[in-house]
Parts: sequence; C-alpha cells; structure tokens
Amino acid sequence: MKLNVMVVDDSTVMRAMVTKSLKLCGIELGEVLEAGNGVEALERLAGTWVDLALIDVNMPKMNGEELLYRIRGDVALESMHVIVISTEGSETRISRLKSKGARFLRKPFSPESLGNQIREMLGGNHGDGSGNQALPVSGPHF
Amino acid sequence: MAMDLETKLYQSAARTFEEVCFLLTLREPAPDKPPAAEREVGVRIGFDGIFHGALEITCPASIAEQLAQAMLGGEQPTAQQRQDAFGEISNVITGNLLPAIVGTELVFDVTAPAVLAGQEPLSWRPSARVRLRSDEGPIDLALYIEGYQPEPKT
Repeated sequence: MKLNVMVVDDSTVMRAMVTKSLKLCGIELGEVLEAGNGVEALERLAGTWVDLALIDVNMPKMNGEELLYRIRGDVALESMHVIVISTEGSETRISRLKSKGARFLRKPFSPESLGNQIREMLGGNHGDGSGNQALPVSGPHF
Repeated sequence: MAMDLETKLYQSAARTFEEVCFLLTLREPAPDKPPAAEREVGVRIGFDGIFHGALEITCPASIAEQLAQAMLGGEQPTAQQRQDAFGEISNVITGNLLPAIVGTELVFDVTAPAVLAGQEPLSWRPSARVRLRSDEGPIDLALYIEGYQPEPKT
C-alpha cells in the first residue's frame, strides 16, 4: 500500500530534507509532491489524490495553519492525514493545529520520529500519549 | 536567577547548529560590530507577538556552504539551497528562542527569512549579541527586540 505524500514548505532545503527522511523511514511511498506554500498546495491537491500532507507553519502567501483549515473545510480533502512539521514553540498554536486533526512534529526531527508519527497515524486509533489525534484511514488507497 | 537573553540566544543557536547541521561551536566574546569581511552571508528573520523584533545571522560563505551541505546529506548545494538552508536555520533558532524567552503559551508570527544584503539596517540597538566559533570561522547572531521587559536579574 503506497502512500502519496505532499511536502509543503517554502524552503527548498527543508523539502529535500523531509523527502529524504520519508525515503529513509521505511514507509512505502507512492508519489511525493512538493509545494512552496499553502496556495500552491491547494492548487496541486485539486488535481491529485494525496494521502498525507506534511506542512510547515511559517510560509508566504498562505501559512500552514490556514492551509490546514482550508483542507478541513473542503469535503474532498477533509479526511487527508496532516502532520505539521515546524519550529513552532507556542503550545497555544500547537493545540489549535491538533484540534483540527493534525499531528505535530517539531524541527529538527529525525527520520525515525517522522516514520513513527506516520505509522501511528495510519495505525488507527492507537493513542500514543502525545495528545495527537488519530484520524480514520480513508481515500482510494485504503 | 533569570537566564539572560544572550545565554538563551547562545543555547538556542548552538543546539540548532549541532542538531541540524552537525556543526559544533564554541561561544566567544561578540564584537560590537562584526568585521565587514566576515559578513559575507546574512539572513534576517522577524517575529511579532507580545513584542516584536528580528534575529540576524551572519557568517562567511564557506560556513553557509557547509551548513547547506550537511542539511542535504552531503550533496553540493545550489545558491538557492545555500540561502534556504541559512534561512531555515534562522527559523529553527527563532522557534527555539521565543519560547525560551516568554514560555510556550504566547503565539508569535514569524516572517519568512530574508537575505540581509541590501536591507536597511535596523535602527534599534541589539538586545543580545552572540558570536559562535566553528572550525570554519565565526557565526554572529544579533537579536533585536522592541517592547520586551526582561525579568530583573536577582
């Protein structure tokens, strides 16, 4: 079961690091798409099925928080898995993101921690004690 | 005793360089103004919340190259990747630093990192200045904060 993933970050280096981490962490990958901000991400999501979006918070044009709200407000995208990968240090904002069904991974991160987050997320409703919410698996691949 | 801003800046920066780029650094006295020859690559990142300000990082081009290469797993970076890597490092340092200063409850909006060259210098005095020494040379950090009242030292 291959996972289509979109990496959304305005930094080309960060996108390369996340993509490399995805390849290292043992997840079976399908297509890996990239976008430089929330606007680009929504444009690409309109034409391609993506199982998991890995999104940064601080981005130009449309930040990750707004992108998450747009995803959850779109019936075609609302069930998509989302992990926010960010330097965000405010528990207030992190709680807001988690309340929208996103998991949170703080930069810097290891490929192992990314892999664990993805496996836990896809594994269903297994609580990990982190407060992250598990979403039901959905979409054409599941 | 409240930890001073320079110590918080130093700890956030040293940890970031070590964890993100495997670059070990030592703290050394910061000059009032870094020599021009060492300011070959620079980035500024702004933040806005209970107070606003900016963090500026400057270093020789060879260090920026090394940082980007480490982040890319040894690949030779393009000029864009070199700049992006430096910007991402400033983002991570800022993300670690702000909660260290004000705690984790308050929300800050952080701007996209911008190349320092060609920008108007900030008119405020830096609230903290730190120099880190690496094998390749110095890395200078200057933290500008407006509207912040530090806890009095006891």
